[in-house]
Amino acid sequence: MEGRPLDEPELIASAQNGDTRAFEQLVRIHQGIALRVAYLVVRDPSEAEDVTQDAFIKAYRSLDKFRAGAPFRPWLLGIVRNEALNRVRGAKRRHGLALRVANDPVSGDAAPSPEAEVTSEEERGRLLALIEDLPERYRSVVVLRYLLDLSERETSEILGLAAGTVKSRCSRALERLRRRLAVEYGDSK
Amino acid sequence: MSRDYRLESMLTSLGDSIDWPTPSPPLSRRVMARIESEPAAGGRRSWRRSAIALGAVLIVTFVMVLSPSAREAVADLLGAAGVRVSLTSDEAPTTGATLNLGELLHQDEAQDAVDFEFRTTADDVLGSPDAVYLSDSGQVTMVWAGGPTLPAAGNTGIGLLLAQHQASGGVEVGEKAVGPGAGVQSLEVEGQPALWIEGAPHTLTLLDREGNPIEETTRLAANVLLWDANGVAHRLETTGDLERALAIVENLEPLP
Repeated sequence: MEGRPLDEPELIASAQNGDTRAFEQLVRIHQGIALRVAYLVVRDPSEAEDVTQDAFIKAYRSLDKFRAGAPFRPWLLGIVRNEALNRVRGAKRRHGLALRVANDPVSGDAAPSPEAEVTSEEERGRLLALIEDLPERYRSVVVLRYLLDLSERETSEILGLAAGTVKSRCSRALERLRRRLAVEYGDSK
Repeated sequence: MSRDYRLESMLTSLGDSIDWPTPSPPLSRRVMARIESEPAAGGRRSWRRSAIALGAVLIVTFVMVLSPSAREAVADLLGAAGVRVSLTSDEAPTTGATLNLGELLHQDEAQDAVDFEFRTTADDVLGSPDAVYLSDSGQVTMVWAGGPTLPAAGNTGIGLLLAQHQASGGVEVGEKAVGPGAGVQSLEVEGQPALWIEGAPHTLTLLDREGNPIEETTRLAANVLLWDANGVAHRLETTGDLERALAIVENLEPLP
């Protein structure tokens, strides 16, 4: 085994046996997405870092509850999200900063795609605003499933929802977004 | 003009263009420094194991009216499985006390404010809940006033109370403290282990999503059905019997 990097199940098993270096590797692997999940709830970059830190500590202490062979990422992100929600509830507020589109757009295909027509910075900003406007039960599904590109199964585990509920909420949320987009673009034509 | 915006791919690419915060380099170092300086407390771990052990116990069906000697027997039974059981000799909570269920909301507002899909009953007799509350901890509680089919409990005016919160997705009943004269029955509800506690006020300790204990005092001097479905812990309190309670469960549906 020496010389070969450990894969995730091996890292988890080592961490469960008290190997803090193995856990540190898990932190490094998942800290980026964990921070995003925290940020989606608390909407403050430095508070999201604090939440992420606390969540990793909780995850470390809960490693004995983690079932061997289960997917680690949704389990961890569920803890992160819950920690973030507790923070927001404690502060008696719902949202801080709105999500913003970065100035430098995504790298991608050079050739314009049909979506490119409607994904200028301004239009992306508008779509983001529509997502922000969704009721929480739809927004949370859309941001995890699409903005963070998590699977349906991961989304359901993180939110503690049945897979069928995630599926139906996704489809209702998309329907709402489609209707809003049709109104906006229909009006502009 | 009809346009297909190919919404799903737009949303996925939108995720890449958001101005996300990035982890500062010392994040993992700070985590590790804390882990190394604060060894994990054993209490919570053993508490969780106890809850799991109780989950195993719940699979076995038993019915027992808790006379003092029977209560000792239950303590022995559950204690043998590693469960911490407190038998209360204190006075039961006053049924007429302020219910403190949280903020009074319209059910749609409550649904928008929580991250799980709660259910209500479409029961013909009961109709819609008379009030919906949301607590600071994110628990949604619906109450129905007492009537001919479900008499009000004590002086609360309430015949049925249904509380729901996001749970650990498995066993959520960690400890129970049962007052004198209570009967406890374990059963399955919606395919999950459940407890039916009949006959006296009592307090309960539930687990939240991370396994942290939440002390709960039942609000009605009535019967209680506890179960977990799809990661949501349910507590139904009613003056009705088990059959009535199960009929209510059968009619539970998410908001339209």
